[in-house]
Amino acid sequence: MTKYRYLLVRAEDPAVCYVQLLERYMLTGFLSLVHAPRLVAIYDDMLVVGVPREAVRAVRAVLALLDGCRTVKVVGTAKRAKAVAASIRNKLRTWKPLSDDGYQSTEL
Amino acid sequence: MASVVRRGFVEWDLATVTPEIEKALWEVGVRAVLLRAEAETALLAPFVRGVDVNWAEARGRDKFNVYVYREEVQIIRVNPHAPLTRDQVRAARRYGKYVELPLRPLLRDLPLLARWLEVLEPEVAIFSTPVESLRDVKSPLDVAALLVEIGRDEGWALPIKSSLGVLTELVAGRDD
Repeated sequence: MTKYRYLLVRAEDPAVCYVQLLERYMLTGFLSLVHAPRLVAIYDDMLVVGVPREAVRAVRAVLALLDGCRTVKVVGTAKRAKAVAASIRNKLRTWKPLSDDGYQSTEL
Repeated sequence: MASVVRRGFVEWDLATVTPEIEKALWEVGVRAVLLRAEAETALLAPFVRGVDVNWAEARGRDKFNVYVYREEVQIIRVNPHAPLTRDQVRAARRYGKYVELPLRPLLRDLPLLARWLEVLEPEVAIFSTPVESLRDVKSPLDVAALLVEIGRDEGWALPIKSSLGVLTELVAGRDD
């Protein structure tokens, strides 16, 4: 079985970063036709994506070309990747406690 | 901070210092930075151009030839749009100069980057990103992967991986 490595990518907009990465995923060669990348999670500004070990360098090269995306860490399992990403994400939204005058949800 | 830095990378051109940029650079493994002017840093070891390291900017090829023979110059920053010749790079190597190539303009012009990698030699090359905002922060290992892929030579990871050593050498070598 092909071993996957999980890249933790910090991005201004992780979804856009992932789409741009997919657009150029062919650059990893024939491997890209056999093994698809695995989207593991998007947490706020973190993108967790798994790629075959042999494709890691090519994928990192692609990320170097994208503005506002940078690989922060590479880990061996999806579970660990999720745990690390969850712990280093920067929360984009802050939930304010409800005000006294009611329980309606407040606008963002 | 009086900590000893053992591993890490250098950002050779940090234009703006903010806590966010510093944090982002630290996160991707950068431990020392070369600043354009004195500035206060909290996380990264700061070095200043012209103070800690002697450098010169060669806008054209002719200027490069002048600086190569100047003894006090340590780093020659080149114009990314005007690739040098192999002989010029060899001369730089002979006289112990480092060639600083700003990478950011080249990321949008990969054929030009490939031409640079044909003439440059990993031992004398320094890759600076110009970091002006948070968006410009790149992971050095991502950049190294790109250089290896474009240059088709594993050796291109060397300028990135040995950057701390090069900086130490430059800063130490200034006094003699």
